[in-house]
Amino acid sequence: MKSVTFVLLLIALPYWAAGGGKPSELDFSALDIPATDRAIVETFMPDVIAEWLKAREIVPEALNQYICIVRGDAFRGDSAQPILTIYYSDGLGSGAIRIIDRSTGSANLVWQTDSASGGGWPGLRFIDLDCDSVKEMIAQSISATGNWSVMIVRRTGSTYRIISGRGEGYGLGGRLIEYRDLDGDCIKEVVVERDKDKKFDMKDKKVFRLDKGAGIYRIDTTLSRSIQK
Amino acid sequence: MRTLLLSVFLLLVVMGCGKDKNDPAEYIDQAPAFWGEEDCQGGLSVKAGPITGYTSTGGYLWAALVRNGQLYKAGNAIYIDAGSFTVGALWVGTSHLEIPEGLYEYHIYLTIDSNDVGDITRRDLEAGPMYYSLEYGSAADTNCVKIIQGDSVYFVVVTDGYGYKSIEVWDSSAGSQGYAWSALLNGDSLDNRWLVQLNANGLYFPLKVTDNNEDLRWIINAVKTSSPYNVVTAEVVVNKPARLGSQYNAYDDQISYWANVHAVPVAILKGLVDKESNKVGGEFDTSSYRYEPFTVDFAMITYNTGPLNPSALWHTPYNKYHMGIPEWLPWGPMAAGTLLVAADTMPAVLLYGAQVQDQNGDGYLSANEYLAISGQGDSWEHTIPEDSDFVAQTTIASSYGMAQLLWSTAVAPMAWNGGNGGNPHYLFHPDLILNLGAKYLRSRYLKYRQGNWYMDWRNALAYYNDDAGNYPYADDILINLVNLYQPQGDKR
Repeated sequence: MKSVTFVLLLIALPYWAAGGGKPSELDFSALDIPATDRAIVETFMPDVIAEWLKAREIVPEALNQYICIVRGDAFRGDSAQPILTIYYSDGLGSGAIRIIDRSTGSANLVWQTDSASGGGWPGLRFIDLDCDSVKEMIAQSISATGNWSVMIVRRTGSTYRIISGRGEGYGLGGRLIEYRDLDGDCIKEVVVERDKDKKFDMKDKKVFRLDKGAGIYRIDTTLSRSIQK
Repeated sequence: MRTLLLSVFLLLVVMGCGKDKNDPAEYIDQAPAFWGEEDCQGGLSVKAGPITGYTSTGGYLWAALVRNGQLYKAGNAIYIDAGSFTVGALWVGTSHLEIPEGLYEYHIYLTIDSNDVGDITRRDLEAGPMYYSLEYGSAADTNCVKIIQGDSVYFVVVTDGYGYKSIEVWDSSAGSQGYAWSALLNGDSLDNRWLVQLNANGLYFPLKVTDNNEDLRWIINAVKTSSPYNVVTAEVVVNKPARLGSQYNAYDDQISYWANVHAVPVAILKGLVDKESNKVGGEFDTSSYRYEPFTVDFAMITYNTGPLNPSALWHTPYNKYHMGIPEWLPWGPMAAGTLLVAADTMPAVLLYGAQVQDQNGDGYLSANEYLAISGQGDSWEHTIPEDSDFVAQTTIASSYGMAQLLWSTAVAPMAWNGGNGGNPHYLFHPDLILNLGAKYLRSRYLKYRQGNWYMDWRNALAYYNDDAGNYPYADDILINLVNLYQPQGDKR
């Protein structure tokens, strides 16, 4: 019992010392993760999310709809690594993605997005898009009406970089987003489909190519026709 | 704009009135000054005073409007002691909403027994009748501007050489604190009462519906730049529209109501409803429904990449409303959600307009049976592994109703029922889905506004549709649909 307490203190003390620890009125018991991970989730929760949840009097059972947690080094597909990737979102555009490394015995925040990075219902996928054996993180969210949007994050060594953000300039939002190597170069293209006109109309398809240096850009849509069944 | 034209004339009644039957010395002055006052919200006070007289007993002095021998409206009673009395004024308060045009008698009564106050047959002293003629006219009152929700009103302030430093818009319900020009630039902090911010010239005032119950009134002040810092004042009355455009009008009242509650321009909300809804019988189809097989069901419900790993089907509140699963499909056997009712399951589930068939007759609509629909322009079959099949969770992986919100959106970000949600078919109810939809649209506006009215609502609509910003969607509403649904008529 003493050792458990000691471990918890090891994890918690650095945050309290840094002013990051904050008492919470939220009940995290419904999160389907070990108690030590729940403490980290709580400690690194953005204030904007915590305040929103408290203001809404979210019932504990519903809390897990706003917090997506991936345990392990998902970039490498190594679930044994003491890393947590947490996507907080209020579903209304506020939130953040935070990667916590516990390999040194304490929890260290190694990367995060700004507080405006939340979207709708949060989700995290890890797919090796650029064929370098390191997976990219795809932070996806579902909008109110059922459209997806994604933000893609690449890790190179210990550096994380957003290579596609949300917004009009990126276009990575639509009814369907899939990742397929269309031209056989081992790099997966991003295929985005939107409702063409009204919601119950047919789809409009666009294709984006991943570039290892520059990020992601849209390519000629004639290619998209080649993937129609 | 309709305004009142009041004409008041006094008729003195000379025989018998004003005298108590037992004491001729008791009286009420038969000819007090008599007039009517209106305010900008349609309120009307018919007043008389000062009122003098004498009573040997004391009692309650009150006034009343009488029509055809019947009490129409009584004013408040004022207690007076025995002896000579002078009361500044008595009034009967009413409003345009409850008083039609016509000729009214105005009486003043003294009633000794408090239980008799309001009963014109049990008065002890009386003055009157004075005759009050009410008619609605067309005379313009430049200090009382009446518009309908969604209208704009423009003020041109003519300077006298000293100029005006600003036009202020005050919410009178805030009392003496009020809010002035500078506050308007951050108008959204004012309890969402502003629909939009002022434009650069400060001449643009689309405001929420005037609500006497909330004491919500809009006062426009133009303030001079130098002494004397006098103020030119006008009041804007915002009334509900009778209709929004000339088509799909069945739900205009609900759309107007929820647009007003959540401070969304009413034509924009109806444009959004048009964009999101099917049409049936010349009206919006309140039961518009769309199952989302890939983005929602496959990715976030049945096979979860989101927070509810590995499947949302076990998590509250999804576990209460999901479809049952047979043992031969993933996660089965699983009984249907405990709170699911028959109305939640669509008798004929549609995917982009085509009906999905239970081809093998096993009582379940599965992914493969959705895939059997061809020519729908949806390529989700590319992504879902070919050998996968699962029960289509049509109840919890669908968008609903006139605003086409996902059930999961209502549950989570909109915190419907504290995040517990409710039966999916409830979202077909216009009031619920318009409430949630307008509230969500407003949240998009607040999130993405930058200070330009048009662009801010363009952003709101774009981010309503998807989190990456679907601007063609927004532009279609703003360019093609909003003009179709401009508010018309005054529904007071």
